[in-house]
Amino acid sequence: MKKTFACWTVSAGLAAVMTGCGTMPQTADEFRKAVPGAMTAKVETFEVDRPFSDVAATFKEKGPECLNKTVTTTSTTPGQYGPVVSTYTVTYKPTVRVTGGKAELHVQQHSDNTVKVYQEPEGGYFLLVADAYPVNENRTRIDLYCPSIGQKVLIKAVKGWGTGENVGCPDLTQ
Amino acid sequence: MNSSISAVGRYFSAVLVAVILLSGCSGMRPYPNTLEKNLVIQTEADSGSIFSKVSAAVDIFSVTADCQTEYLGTVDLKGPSVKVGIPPDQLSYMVFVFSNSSFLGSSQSTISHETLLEARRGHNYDISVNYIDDIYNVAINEKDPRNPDGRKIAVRDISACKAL
Repeated sequence: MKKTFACWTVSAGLAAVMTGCGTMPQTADEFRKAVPGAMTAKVETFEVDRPFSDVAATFKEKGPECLNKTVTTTSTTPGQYGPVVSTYTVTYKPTVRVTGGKAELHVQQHSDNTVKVYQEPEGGYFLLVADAYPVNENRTRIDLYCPSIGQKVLIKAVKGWGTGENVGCPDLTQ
Repeated sequence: MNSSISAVGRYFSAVLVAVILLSGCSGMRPYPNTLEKNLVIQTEADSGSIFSKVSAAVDIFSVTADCQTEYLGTVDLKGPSVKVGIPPDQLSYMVFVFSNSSFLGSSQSTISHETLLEARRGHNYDISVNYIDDIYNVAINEKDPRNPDGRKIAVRDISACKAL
């Protein structure tokens, strides 16, 4: 139930982000430019006491392991004439890119259950982008572009991959 | 007395038939677990909410030479430690399934974490399965008498089978 609400909220939020621009971000770069100042999205910057190479390695390991998933959530709610069963399916697509001075994690989501008002990029709408940069030998800065409503579990997991304190996978059904 | 025993016998027979039919219909069956135990699976599962419950299980598949999987059965990961035996020197495909059910709104969801595992003969494996506050992790460690720390076994998707 809360997952369905969150997903609808994210989709609506992303649409709200793009209303001013009149289009939906088709690339991670467009997503980064669109998020600041958006109503239901935010940029969060934090630094972690880990070398850049370790953060990048965690992104490379955990991104595909945890986010190459299609999840289906089923909920049953009372209806006027009996129980109403709702099924919601979302496919996630992670992309990790590492260069000498930057590690990027992109997360896209695609669902057949939403009404697509705007053109959807290949792989799905951009849901989250995390950029990691080395600050010094043992410290890394992470810029996190993400929804400000919903997706708390995904955001918690990505932050954990950055800090190295919790490198598990998010239960994307929650 | 004879009629009572007969009635009890008929009752248990009916229950047994129902269980068999239901098991067959669901497609899930207990993993036989008759081989020498080479895995120790330690599980910790906590949804983090009093309104929901999470349970864990592992579906075990054999893997053929052409990378096809055959379902062998399911082990419920109840209790802190479960010992399992999988065929040594053969590829197995293990699907760890976390089922989260909410007491409010009657919602249920499952998420799975899959990995290929080839258990080397003569080796034992510690598998740590955790689900805490909507974050889960499966870690596999191969125990080696020569190396007290053991060797971490990386998660491998079924698609990695073709490369082996």
